[in-house]
Amino acid sequence: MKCYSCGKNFDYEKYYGICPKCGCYNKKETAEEQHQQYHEQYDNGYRHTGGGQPGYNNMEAGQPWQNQQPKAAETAAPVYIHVDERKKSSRGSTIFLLVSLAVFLAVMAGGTAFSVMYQKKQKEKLQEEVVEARTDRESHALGETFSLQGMKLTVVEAWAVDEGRKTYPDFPEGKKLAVVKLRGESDGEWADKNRLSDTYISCSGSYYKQVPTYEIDWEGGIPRDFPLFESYSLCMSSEAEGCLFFWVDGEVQDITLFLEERVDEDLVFIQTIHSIEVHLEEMDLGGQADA
Amino acid sequence: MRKAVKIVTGVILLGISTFYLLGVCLVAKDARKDASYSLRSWLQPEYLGCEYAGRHVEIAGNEEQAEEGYVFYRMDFRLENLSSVAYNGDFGYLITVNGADYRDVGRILSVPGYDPTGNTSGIYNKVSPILPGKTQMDLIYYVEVQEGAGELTLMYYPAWSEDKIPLGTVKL
Repeated sequence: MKCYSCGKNFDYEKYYGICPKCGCYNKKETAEEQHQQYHEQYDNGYRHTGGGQPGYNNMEAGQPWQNQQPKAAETAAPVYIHVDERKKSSRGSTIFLLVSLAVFLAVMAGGTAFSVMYQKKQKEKLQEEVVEARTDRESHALGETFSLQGMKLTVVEAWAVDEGRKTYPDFPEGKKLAVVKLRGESDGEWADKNRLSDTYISCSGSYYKQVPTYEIDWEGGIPRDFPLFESYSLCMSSEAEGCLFFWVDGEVQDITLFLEERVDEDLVFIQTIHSIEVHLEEMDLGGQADA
Repeated sequence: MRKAVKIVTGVILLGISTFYLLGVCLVAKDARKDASYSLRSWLQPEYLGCEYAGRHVEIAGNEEQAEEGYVFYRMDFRLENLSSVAYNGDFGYLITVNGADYRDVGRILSVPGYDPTGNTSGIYNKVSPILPGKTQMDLIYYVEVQEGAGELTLMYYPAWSEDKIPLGTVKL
C-alpha cells in the first residue's frame, strides 16, 4: 500500500495501516469495501438481501449491487453526489412545507380580515343606501283594489272585538282587538316575492305593529272566526282572504292601516307606503262563536 | 421530520387554504344578503321646543307629580325613522337629557311609551308603540328638572350600538 501522506510503499497487513516512515494511519478499504465488510458482519437478509451500492438507498429486491457497481475510478465521487442530492431533496421538502405554512397563515389572516372588513363595509353601505332611499305614499279607500309588489290587494272590512268576547286568554285590559279583513290575488309564485311585509296601524298619534301570528294562533277562538292572512299567503296560492290583527285602545273607532311595498332582491327598500283609513265596526259575535 | 411527512403536511395546509379561500369568496358573495338581515332602524330627532310644565302634569289621563325640589319641563321633538326597519325600542331612552350636575335631571316620561303602572304582565310588547321605517311621529318628553338648573344638554342615539350625537342645548 502507498501512504496517503508521504507516498512510501509499505505492507498494510504488517504495519496495520500505519506508515513506517511518517506514522500516518492509512485506511485500506474503499467505501465499497467497507460496505461489503458490514454486509458480511451484520447482514441477516432483512430488507437488504441484494446488497447495494454505498451511498444509495437500494431497497429494490433482486437488484444485486454488484451489477451496478461503478468502476474503481468512479467509486468515491458518486457517493458524495448522492448525499448532496438527498440533502437538496430534504431541503426542498422543508422549503415546500415552510411556503405552505406561510400561504396557510396568510390565507387565514388575510381571508378573515377581508371577510370581516368586507361584511362591515357592505352593512354600512346598505344602511346608508336605505337611509338615503326615497319612499312614496299612496292612500286608498276601503274596498279599493290596489297593486302591491305585483299582488292585487283589497281591504274588505274591519271590526273591533272588545273584551266581552272571551276568545283570547290574555286579552289586555282596556284594549280591543282590531280585525282587518284583507283579500288578495297574485300569480302564486314564490319567486315573485308575493310576500306581505309587516303591517302596522296608526291611531291616537302612535303606530302599533301587527299582532304576530304565533301569538294569535290559538286553538279555537279568534282563528276559528277569523282566518289569518299570513305573510306568505299569496306565495303559494293565487288567491287568499284573511285577517290582520292589532291591539288598540278601547275608545278607538278609526285606524289607518299601512302596508309597505318593498323592492330589492331581499325586499330591503320601502318603495311605497300604502295607507287605508278604516272605521272599526263593533261586532257582536256571540252567536257565531257559539256555533 | 421525514420528507414525506413534510410534503403531506404542506399539501394539507394548501388544501385547507384553498377551501378557506372558497369560503371567503362565498362570504363576499352573500355579504349584501347578510347585511340586509342586520339592518337597523335609524332615528333622527328634531328638537321643536321646551316649556315649563309646573310641578304637576297630566299624561294620558294620569297625574304625575314632580319630586320635592324638582319641576317638569315639556320638550317636544319630531322623530323620524330614516331606515326601512321599524324601531321597537323604548322611546324614553332615545334622547338623553343631562344638566351641569347629575342631580339636575330626574325622571323622564315619554309620550308615546308612557306607562303609569309599569305593569306589562301578559301583554308585554303587544301594545307597545313602534316607529315604522320611513315614517315620523311626535315625541314628547316630560323631564323632571331640579329647580335652579340653568341649562340642559340633549343627545340622542341614532341606532343601537351607535355613539351618541349632540342634539343641542336648552336654556331654561
